[in-house]
This record gives sequence, structure tokens and C-alpha cells, in this order.
Amino acid sequence: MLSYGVAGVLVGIAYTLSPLTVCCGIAIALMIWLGGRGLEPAERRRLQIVLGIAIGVRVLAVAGLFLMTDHARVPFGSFFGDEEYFLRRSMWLRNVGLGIPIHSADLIYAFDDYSETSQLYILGFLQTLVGFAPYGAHLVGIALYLGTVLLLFRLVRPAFGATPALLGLLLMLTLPSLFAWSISALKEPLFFALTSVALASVVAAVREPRWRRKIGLTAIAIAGSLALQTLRRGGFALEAASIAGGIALAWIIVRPRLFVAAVVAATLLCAAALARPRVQVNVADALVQVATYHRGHIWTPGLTYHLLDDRLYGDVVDIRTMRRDEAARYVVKALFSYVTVPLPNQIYSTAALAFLPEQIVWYLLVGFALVGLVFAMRRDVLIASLLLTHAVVAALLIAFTSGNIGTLVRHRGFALPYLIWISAVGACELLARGASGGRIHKA
Amino acid sequence: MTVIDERGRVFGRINLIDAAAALFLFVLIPVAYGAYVLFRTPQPKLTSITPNKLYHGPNQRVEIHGVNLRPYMRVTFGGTQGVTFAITSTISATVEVPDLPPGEYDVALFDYKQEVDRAPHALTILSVEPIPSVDVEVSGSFKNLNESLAREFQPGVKLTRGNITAEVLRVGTPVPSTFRLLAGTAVLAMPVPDQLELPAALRVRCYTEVGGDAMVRCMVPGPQHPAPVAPDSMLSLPASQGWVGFQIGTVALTATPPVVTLRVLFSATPELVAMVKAGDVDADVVAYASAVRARLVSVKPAGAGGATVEATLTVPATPGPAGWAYNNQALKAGLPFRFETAGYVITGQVIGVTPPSPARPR
Repeated sequence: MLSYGVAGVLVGIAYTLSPLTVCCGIAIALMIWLGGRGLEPAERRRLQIVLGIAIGVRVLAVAGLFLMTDHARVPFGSFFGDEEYFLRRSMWLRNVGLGIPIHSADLIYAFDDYSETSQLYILGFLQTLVGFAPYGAHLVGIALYLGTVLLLFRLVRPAFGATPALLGLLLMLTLPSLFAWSISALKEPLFFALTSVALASVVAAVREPRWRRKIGLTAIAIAGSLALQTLRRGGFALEAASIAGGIALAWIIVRPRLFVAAVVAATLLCAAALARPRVQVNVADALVQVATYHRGHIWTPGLTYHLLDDRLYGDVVDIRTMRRDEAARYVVKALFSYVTVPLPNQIYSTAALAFLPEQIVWYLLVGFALVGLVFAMRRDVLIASLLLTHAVVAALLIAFTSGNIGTLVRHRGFALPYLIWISAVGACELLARGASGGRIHKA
Repeated sequence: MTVIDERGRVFGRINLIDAAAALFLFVLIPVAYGAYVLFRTPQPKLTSITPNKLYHGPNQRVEIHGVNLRPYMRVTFGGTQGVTFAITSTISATVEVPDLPPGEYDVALFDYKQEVDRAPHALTILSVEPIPSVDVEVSGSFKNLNESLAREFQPGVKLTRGNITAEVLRVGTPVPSTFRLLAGTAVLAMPVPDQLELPAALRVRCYTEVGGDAMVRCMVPGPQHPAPVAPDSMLSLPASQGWVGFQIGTVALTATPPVVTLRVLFSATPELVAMVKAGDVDADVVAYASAVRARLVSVKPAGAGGATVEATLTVPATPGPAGWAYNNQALKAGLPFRFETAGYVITGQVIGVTPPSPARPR
């Protein structure tokens, strides 16, 4: 009884100091309990150990940030440059909401079109409830990311097996770029969470026999996709394309004759469409737009890489003047660079060496994914297809627009939460076949 | 039942030749036509070019208008390919025109392999008004020289590179270098330690340019930017060891100017008047540049006390709308006249102007 009393007092003190820490702590504990529900005791224990360490390291990082920040000089610390601006904007929105006067310049920045996202309002609302929480916002990010990981873990575990699911979970929690996203107060943790909710809802909706629940789950998936649109421009279209593409792929790939017919029909349809000048102009225009984004990245600080021919990087050169051969080289280089950058000859500074460990893991993940896709499709074609289309859509978006090595490495994190599970299947299959000449069994 | 019986009928019903003809007529031809319609890329066509007349010059663009234009096409002007092709829509694109000499050009549209349309004489390149070049004589000094470089500049030496042409006419003796710098509205002379300058007169070729204020200036090309021909302007001229600066002091046209004979009464203190001698040369504007300078031809006393002299001068003059002028001074009886040598400055009143006999003010 006494221990409950002491615990209550401690929680009360903690809530007074940081309400969001207590709220996130409760949410994380709930998620860990739900994540391990129904698992064998040994597996549940392994899962809880992994999650405990992962959460502990992340909380330590946030605590370290708090301790290392000179609060006499700055109001709060942040991990990334964008983060400080992001948190300040959410605070200005909170103040506006509460009718607290703010500087007119801050008022303009609070509603600036640049980086406009619903995440700002969510953080603003949370801080309206609990007060300023520049460090608590990181804990919200951690909780959201942990929710994403556990949701995907619970989705793939019955489909792909216990070992690939645990391996995927480990990678999701330890890869440096994903670790960085997971502790950030930026919109990425929420983006991952909403995407995985939409993905899991679609899988459940497809398999749900009862129409009422099927409609409910579909509504959740659509709501998640619409919420993504408020979070990131084009979020709904990207998620809709990923889901529609995944379902279509899963449906057709198990019907080989129809699949071949569809490939032929799609090829003919593309040829017929591309014969139209208007379609050609639209395609070329889209290519010019993404190439323009890429060129913008080249002019950012840090290490960069080129996808276009050198003449197109001139200050006054119009990218619309890109020739056919230049466009073809751009497309090939973009796809190749997405997988390979940074190559060893592009690591020409000590700072760039920091990318090396993750780069090696990335190469392995890509290699294992090629193998794992076949086995994942055999095990659960719907989940494998949805994971694949989510990874491909995220990859294509980044491949053609990126030009900064650091940004590319970080933004590959958008494809990783889906690719990792397929790679884990490939790695486990190869290891199992190498070790015993057999294949691993589903749990 | 056999597929084709002994009478050549398919399944005993239709003649094989008839079946083949029917297949060709009712299946293959519609399929072929459908495929042609579906996969045929419409033929692009040029309709007009805007503008269709350009003045000769670099970095120019035209907008081509047409139908069914596509990305990655090419346009040629009289066989010379346009530098770029930037499509805006299926009916227009912007093309960077290559450097073409004046003339009329056919404009041809190409896809990736062949010409698809041609507009004869669609683009005209007009010749621009020729920019007049003139030779002027400038006096001033070569700046920042060492002794060996100073020895290079001798009368008759030509300094030429590209479209920069200058000839050394006369040189003086090297002296410590001094820059004349513009500070606000004042011109300051600033000595440069350990450097020499070489006074000299040059003949330089310059081209005329109309500035934003609509005034005509003569510009000498330079390695980075052209410099105007004007007092204190710094020209960059080619020398054996690289570019060398030449700061202009005075300017004059190289053509022999008309010479006006003036009679002037100079009045001053007896000491100053005593310094005025026949043969004195005006040193103000054309001290180095022109062989023809304002010169005192004769001086005679014109009153008691030696405070006034009547001088006769020959003056290189330029005709203007209001009569003859010298160094921005109108040459008219009754007007003051300023005469300056290295030793004195004296002001008098013009009492007679005799224009040159062959030339008249226009």
C-alpha cells in the first residue's frame, strides 16, 4: 500500500514538472503491453527488453539534450535546425489561441505558408493543455514512432514469421536515420504513424468478412490518408497511390495469366497515352519540376551529388531546355543514386564518414529485399504488396528530388519502415537456408 | 469431321480462302486501323514565329507556335540548330537562336530523327546600325610601371589585342606614380610609393555608345569592361607583361582641327603681362595629344604702364551651333578668353575673331 502511495506521489511530482512525460509514459506502457499481447512468454519478454532499451536510449537522448542546453542563453534545445523553428511556431500558435499577445513578426511566421502542417496545430493544442513542452514534444514523437513500429510488427509477425518480425523491429529501432526521426519533434513520427494506421486498416478491411467492420476499417484508412494530406502536401495522393497500387498488385500477382495480360495491356496503354503530345508535355513538365527541386537541393549547404548534366546547374539555365538524352540520364542517375549514394568516392570528409555504417546496412537491406520480396509475396501477398508499394512510392519521391547526401540518407527513412520487413524476410530465409538448407517456419 | 475437308472448306462450312479473306477484311484491317489511330503520334506543324524579325546579336530567343509540338524537338534556322528548345505547351515553345548573320532563314522543326515541318523565310535577322569607331588622341600616363616596362613604351609602339588598338605617339620621362582618384565630386591626386608612371600621348580607337542619359561617349574595350575616353578614366592596355593601366589626362580628336585666329586684349599686373611672350602654348586641354595647340603668335603693348597687351593667337577650334569654341569657351568678340601655360594663367577679352578660310561653322 505504501509503495503505491510513494509511486502516486512520484507520478504527481513528475506530472507537475512535465505533464507530457507522464502522459507519454502511460501511452508507451500501454503500447508495450498491447504489443506483447498474445505472444509466447519468451517472445514477449524479448520484445519488452528490446523496447525497453530502445525507449531508454531515446529518453536519455532527450534528457541529454535538456542537460546540455544552456537555458540561460536559449529557451530550449533542439536536435535539428528545423526543430527549433517548428517548436517556436507551435508555441506562437498556442499563444494566439489563448489570446496571449505575441510580436507581430512572430504572428506572421506562425501562419507562414512555409512548412505549414497540421502537426504545428497538434503541438500547439498539446501545449495549450499542458503548457510549454519543448522537450515533451520529443516524447510525443517517440511515442508515435514506437506505436508505428509496434503496429507494423504486429501486422507482419503473423504474416512473415516471428524471426523476421523481430529482426525488422530491431532494425526499425536501431538504424541511425530512423532513430533520429523517432526522437524529433518534427512531423515525421506522426507521418509514419498515420501511414502505418492506414496500411494496417486496409489489410484488416480486406480480410474482414463482416461488411460493417469492413466499412469502418476503410473509413479509418481514408481518414488516415486525409490526415496525411494535412500533414504533408500531396500526402493523400501518395498514400492513396500506395494503397491502391498495393491492393492491385496483390490481387493480380496471384493470377499469372491476368498478370501477363495486364502487363501487356498496361504497356499498350502507356504507348497509346505517350503517343499524345499533351501527355508527353505533361510528363516532361513533371520531370522538369522534380529536376528543379533537385537543383534546389544542390545549392543547399553540405555534401551534394549531381543528377543532371553540368550545363543545367547554371544560374540562368532554364531546366525546360533539358534535351531527351539529358532527361534519360537524369532518370537513370536518380534511380541509381537513390540506392548507391554516398559511394566511397563521395565520402570526402570526416563528417560524411558518419553515413558509412548506415550506408553499409542500407546496401544489405536493398540486397536482402530483392530476395525477401519473393518469399514475402509467398507468405502474405497483400502485406508484402502494400509494404512494397509504400516503399517504392516513398523512394521515387525522394530519388528524383534529392541532391544533398545528408538529406538523401535521412529521407531514405521514408521508405525504410516498409522495406525493412521485406529485407528481414530475405535475410532470415538466406540465413536459414545457409544454416540448415531449409526455410524458416511461420510462428 | 476434319478441320479442312477435301474441298478446302473449314469445318465443312466455309472455304479456306474465303475465311482468310474474311479474316483479313473484317479483323486484320480494323485492328490495323485501330492500332494506327491509337498509336500514331499526330504530325507536328509550325504555324508562326514570334518575333519573326530580330536584330543581329547574341542571346536572343523566339517563340515558335504550332500544333502537336512535343518535348525534346529541335529547331533549325537555315540549317543551324537552335541552342535550346523549351516547350511550354503543345502549341508553343521557346527557342534560343544561334548567332546568325543578317539574312532570311527557313525555320525547320525536327523530332528526334527527322524534319517534320518547315516554315520558309520565317525568320529575318536584320543588320544593326554600324557602330562608328573613331581614333582619338589622349594624353596621360602609364601607371604602376617598373623601369624595364617603362622602357617598352616608345613612340610608334602599337599595343594591340583583340579589338583593343592603341599606338604610342609621344613619351615623357618616368616620374613617381600618382593616381587621380574620384572622391565624391573631388578628384584627389594620391602618390603610389615605389611605382613609376610614364607620361605619354596615345592614339586609341574607341567605339561610340549612347548612355542612359542619351549622351554619346566613346569607349575603349578592356579585358573586363570598357572604359570611357574622358579625363581621369583608366584604360587597360595590353603590354608584354600583361595589362597595364593608362590614366587619361586630356583628350583630343586626331583630325587636324580648323584654326581660328584671335585677337585678345590681356590686362593684368605688369609683372604678369611681362610673362606673356609670343610662342607660348596653351597647356590646358591638348598638351600632349594634339600637335595643334592654342599658341601666341604675337604680343604687343596696348596701353601705358605695361598692364595691357594685345595678343594674336592661333586656336584649334570646333564649330558649334553658336559659333566657334575652344575648350568649352565660345570664341566671340567681347567674350573673355582664358590662356594657361605651365607658368601662368591670364584672362583677357576677345576683340577679333578670324575664322579659317576653307571651313565655316555648320
